[in-house]
Amino acid sequence: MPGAKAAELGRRCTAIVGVVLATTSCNENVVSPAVCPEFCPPATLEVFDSIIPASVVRDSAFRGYVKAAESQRAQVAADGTVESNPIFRFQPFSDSIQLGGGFVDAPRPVVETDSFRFEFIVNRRSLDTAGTEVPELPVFRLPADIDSNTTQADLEPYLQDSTELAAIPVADDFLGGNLGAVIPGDAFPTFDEDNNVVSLGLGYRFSRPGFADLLTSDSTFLATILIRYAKVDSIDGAPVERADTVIVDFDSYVSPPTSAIDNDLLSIGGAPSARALIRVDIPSGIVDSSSVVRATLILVPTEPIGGITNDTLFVLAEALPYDLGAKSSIVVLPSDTLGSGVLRIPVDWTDTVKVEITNILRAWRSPSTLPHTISLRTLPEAGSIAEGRFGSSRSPIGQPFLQISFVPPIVVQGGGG
Amino acid sequence: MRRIYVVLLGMMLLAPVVTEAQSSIYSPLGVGFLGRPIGTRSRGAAGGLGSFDARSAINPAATGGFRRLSITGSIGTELRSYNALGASADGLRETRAPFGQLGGWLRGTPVSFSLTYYPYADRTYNLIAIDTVEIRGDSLESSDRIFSDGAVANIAGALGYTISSRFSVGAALHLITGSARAGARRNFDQPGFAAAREEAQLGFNGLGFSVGIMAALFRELTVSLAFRNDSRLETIADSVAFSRIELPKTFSGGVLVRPFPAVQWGTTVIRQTWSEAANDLEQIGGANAYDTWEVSSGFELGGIPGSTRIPLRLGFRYAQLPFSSSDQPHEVDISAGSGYDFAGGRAVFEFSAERIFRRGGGAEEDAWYLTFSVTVRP
Repeated sequence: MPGAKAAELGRRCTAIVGVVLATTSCNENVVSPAVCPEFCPPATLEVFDSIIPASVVRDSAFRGYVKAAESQRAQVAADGTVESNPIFRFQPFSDSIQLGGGFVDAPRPVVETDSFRFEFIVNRRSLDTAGTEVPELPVFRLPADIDSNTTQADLEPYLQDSTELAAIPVADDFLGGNLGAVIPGDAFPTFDEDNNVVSLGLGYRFSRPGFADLLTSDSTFLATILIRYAKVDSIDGAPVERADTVIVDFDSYVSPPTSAIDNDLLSIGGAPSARALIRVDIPSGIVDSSSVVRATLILVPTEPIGGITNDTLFVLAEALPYDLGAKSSIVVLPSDTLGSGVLRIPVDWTDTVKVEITNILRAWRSPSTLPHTISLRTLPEAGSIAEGRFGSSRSPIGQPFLQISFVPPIVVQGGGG
Repeated sequence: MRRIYVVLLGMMLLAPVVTEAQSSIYSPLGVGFLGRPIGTRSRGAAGGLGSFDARSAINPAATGGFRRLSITGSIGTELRSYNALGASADGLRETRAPFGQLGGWLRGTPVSFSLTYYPYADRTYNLIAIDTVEIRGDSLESSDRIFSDGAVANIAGALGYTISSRFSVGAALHLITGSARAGARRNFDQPGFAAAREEAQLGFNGLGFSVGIMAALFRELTVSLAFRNDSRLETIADSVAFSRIELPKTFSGGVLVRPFPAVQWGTTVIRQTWSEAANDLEQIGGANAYDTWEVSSGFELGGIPGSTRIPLRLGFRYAQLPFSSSDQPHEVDISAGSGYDFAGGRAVFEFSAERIFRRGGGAEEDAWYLTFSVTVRP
């Protein structure tokens, strides 16, 4: 073909393609209202709701996952019969304090301690008032050698008026944040013998049950501090005022010992924390092939939810990557439970509780190899003394079961009408 | 020039993947909304010339019309609206590749050939329904989306044999293939209920053959007869055979009158025995299937040397549609088209416009269908 002809062909083709594209390049829009069943495929989505009574099998509970000293919260609470007391052991103060900023000057010895300031962070608290009375958090002096083995019984002699160093009022409008108290400089007579280590405890004093949850060092690095205001020798011999701060070396809370796990019950919560393992046996036609719209695990408390009145048990359901019984780790799904994300159960609750496990069942859908096992734990674990006990599959009454709303599998193809 | 061939060949190769016909409110019914085995030239005449047009695939004997290698690619845009049982939709539009072909003639022999693709049935729809359902005692508003995106495609390899200048025969093998991503989703207005979602990748398999003859009884009168028989259409959902639907036998015939060289008037009649699919459709809860008649008639003026260079095509078509849940629907087309050849006849640009009215089964659907094609003859 001569070159001129080819060029003409090229130009004309370009023009034609331009015309065609201008005409046909509109956005596609095929979305239209369905007219069913007359103009729809024969297979339509249909939701079935099924209660599966014997769906929970080989369920069990274990205690000891998180101890109070490892929790992200420490609960101070009292309801007249039960008390929970946070305890803190601070890092040792130095015998000397830097006179100026930085490390320019040599530290100067402390000649006199004026006072201490004890500060901590409250995460949440019970909101209950009694007229003009407000709750108080008394601060107690504790032995310097407290540790994770220290029990409430060990500290009973120290949680008394005689060892009370200060009392912190909690105002009605205080919802959370920093609280603190000034402690006299001579409040720790064994300060030197204890190698400058200070330990403190907190109590809850109010005419009605109440609580406050404190952040611990496992949650925030500077959750609790102790500031010392002291006089140190200056270079010219005249004492000057200086301050230094120590953080906690150990923090925890003590409460009455938790009861042993009852093998016929499912326990969740407490400190050390208890988890329940729920193994589920449901038809593969539901879990493998169907589209689960909503799945609910229904638990029946065998006794009122334990803890301080007005407190709440936060329960989280999670899938397991493999079922090794009590040693199983958990799978963090994008959203473990639908709706609120975490089930909230008020203390003293006696009615059935419904744990949404929709996303867990959807994660089990074939070809998933996850075991059909669910872990139930509190959040944060061992963060309070609240604990729930529910019927297990071995209980004569109050056995757990599942309610599942699902859409059976369909193949949408032609043929409708 | 070479680049154009490459582009067109690319379109041919990709055709089995992208080929789809126009959609319709009838697309979810039966095996889908049927495509048409005709090119843009025949579309301009409403299909009336289809039995005799080498650039169509109704009658394999028509491949004798190729005088040189010919490569055709086309694109079609549909604009439609419908009213059906109280629901209506406007402004629906889509663009598809409705026809592609590679055809030619084995030099020095009476044998001609073609490789053609066209949509056997369109399977594209996207339906939205709002409803209220009761679950666990709660009344929930649900939003359903039922969708399918794909088509059943027909790839035909045809051979024609020109016995004499007045008589030719042909046969074709039809590979029925294609795929669609189909599914349904339901969302609820309450956050505690997760969306239900079912999706499947559908594959379609089938086979067919067709034979045809074309005879010029007189210089002014040519007749055409063809027969096609297809196997069952097997639908495979996620690698598992899901359904098998009997496909129809197709009988077609046509008359072409050419009183003058520049005037052609053709009429094509097609009969398809879709009722054979009724039992198979019933098993999957599908629509009723009816036998169909299709009559199209149209003429072409000019477009040959010695007449006007730009042809004019006009046509009318009446066709029954095979699938419905109640009475049998039908469609009426009025079409017009033209073309323009350039580079000494080595390239042809053609277009057609169809006004389509579909009625029946409780629906009224109106559509415009615009088709453009480019044919290159190296």
